[in-house]
Amino acid sequence: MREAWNVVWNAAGEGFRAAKGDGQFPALFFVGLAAIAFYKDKREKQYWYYGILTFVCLLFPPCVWVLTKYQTGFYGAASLWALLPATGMTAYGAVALLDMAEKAYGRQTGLMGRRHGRHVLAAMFCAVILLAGSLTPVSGAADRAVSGEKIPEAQRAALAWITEHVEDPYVWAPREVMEYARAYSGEIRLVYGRNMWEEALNANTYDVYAEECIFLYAWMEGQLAGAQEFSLENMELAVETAIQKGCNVLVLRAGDEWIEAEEACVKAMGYLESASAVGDYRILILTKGGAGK
Amino acid sequence: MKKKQTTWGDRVIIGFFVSICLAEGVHLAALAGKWEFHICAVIMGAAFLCLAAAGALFWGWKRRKAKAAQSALSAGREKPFPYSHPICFALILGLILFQVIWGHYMHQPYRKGDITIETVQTILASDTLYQTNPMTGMPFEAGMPSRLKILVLPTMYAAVCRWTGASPQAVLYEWAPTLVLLLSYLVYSRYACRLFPYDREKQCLFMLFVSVLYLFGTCSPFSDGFRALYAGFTGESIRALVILPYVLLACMEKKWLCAAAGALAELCLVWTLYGLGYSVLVMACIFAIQTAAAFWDKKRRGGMPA
Repeated sequence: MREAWNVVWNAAGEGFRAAKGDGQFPALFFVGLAAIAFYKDKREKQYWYYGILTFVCLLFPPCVWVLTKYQTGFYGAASLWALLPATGMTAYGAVALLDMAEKAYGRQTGLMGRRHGRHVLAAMFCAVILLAGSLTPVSGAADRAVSGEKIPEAQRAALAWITEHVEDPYVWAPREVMEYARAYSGEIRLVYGRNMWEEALNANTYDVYAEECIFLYAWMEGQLAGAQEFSLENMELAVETAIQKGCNVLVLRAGDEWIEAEEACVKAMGYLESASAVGDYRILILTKGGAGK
Repeated sequence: MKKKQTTWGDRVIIGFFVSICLAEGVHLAALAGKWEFHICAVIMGAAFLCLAAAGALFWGWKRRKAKAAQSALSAGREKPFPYSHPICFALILGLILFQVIWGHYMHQPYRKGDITIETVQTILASDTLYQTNPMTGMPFEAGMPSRLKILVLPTMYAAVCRWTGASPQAVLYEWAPTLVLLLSYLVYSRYACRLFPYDREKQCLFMLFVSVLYLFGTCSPFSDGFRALYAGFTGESIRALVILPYVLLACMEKKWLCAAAGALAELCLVWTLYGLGYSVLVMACIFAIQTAAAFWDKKRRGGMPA
């Protein structure tokens, strides 16, 4: 019983933390609700009641559990916070608070006089919203230079080169390139996709990856993580596996110390058609997986 | 019974919902008939044109009908909004414009847990619907869940790309978020009118706070501000920014048919519990609140001395 309660409690807590993020908007929402409670000219009480009801439900773990079951667990508890009329209710509460403050303040002088007092108060409320929120987005959302295609410049250059120089490209590349490949062009095929490292995306397909795909991913990411021994020891096996799968483009990071050894290995195996340096990457066109132009 | 008035804002939003439902119909037919995508896009385009023509005719007829009544009421009316509060209007417009420009040029879209762009690229490249794995570009081996196959959003985006020749990036990351953002402001402008009738200043303040909340509310991927500025192309964002607020408003105004249209649109965009979604939950909550309020009101009146 205690364990079940802990699970429910943790799920609700995680949902709240994820929905709150770095800001304090739930607190602002609560202030909005409280302001409306004291606002004599309030209309649409049902809106206010709905705000209270959803807020209480989303903070009360058993209700969160029921609602999560209602959405069959496909989405997390944080998604449930979409039910909260956060923006509308907070704005409503802010206007109510401003109106009440103005009425109370109307008899006094100061704060730039009666005429401009309301504007000063409105500006102060906007400042409160800024302090409770954020000017910058959550980390990871906009931290890289992007091109017109909304793809980081280094990756875009590599992908553009591949689509231009390789017919029917079947690509095996570092994760950061694979992540944007299918967003860049539907013509590019991949040895494995984003669902290899973003587990939540596995809900989009019943397909599962074969062992060799998982090995190729581990090899490539091991190489990225600097596991040189792992990288070089299994190089031949990895290239052979990729070729067997029909892969015709291999992308390596140009900055790696052992890139020359890797390229030499592919060449010695007889699979290298050409190699080009494109920005941060070294792109090897392989011969047996498909035809290069 | 008092007739419920629909504003032009209502009509635009309902038009949006009906467009989604119509696109869903074509999408389902294409899935069932295993049509090639270009056929689906043509039929979807024709359906949208018919809907637009029907909407324009209906709107024109309604306007003509209401013209006489309007001209009688227009005498002695207060100044229209932009002229009565020009500074506030300019401020709100400036903030909205900044958010649109932000969406077009300055942001990197948030794609975590979302494969809409890959799906659109796959549909366009393969000219088929959901026969290729969007994440790898290889044919499906075991397939994909039908609960996701029925969602129409990627097909709609791909159809827009096909009609206009625009890139999927432009449609998904620029056009769609702009449309969703503007529709969201339209919904909240209806809230402003509902919550502060005949008080232009408070309506302005309400809209100003909404735009400021969007601008500074990017602190979590689940916040409205973040959805508006970074992920406006996803079904969940459309639900959170347009559908749910509108359904809530429609329920408060007892426009149950409009609310039902929103619930249907949600079903077409976001996978829900086999047809029931958040909108149905909102409708049930508001209905319960209204029933309880009516019961309480009746009881209180009944208890009062004659």
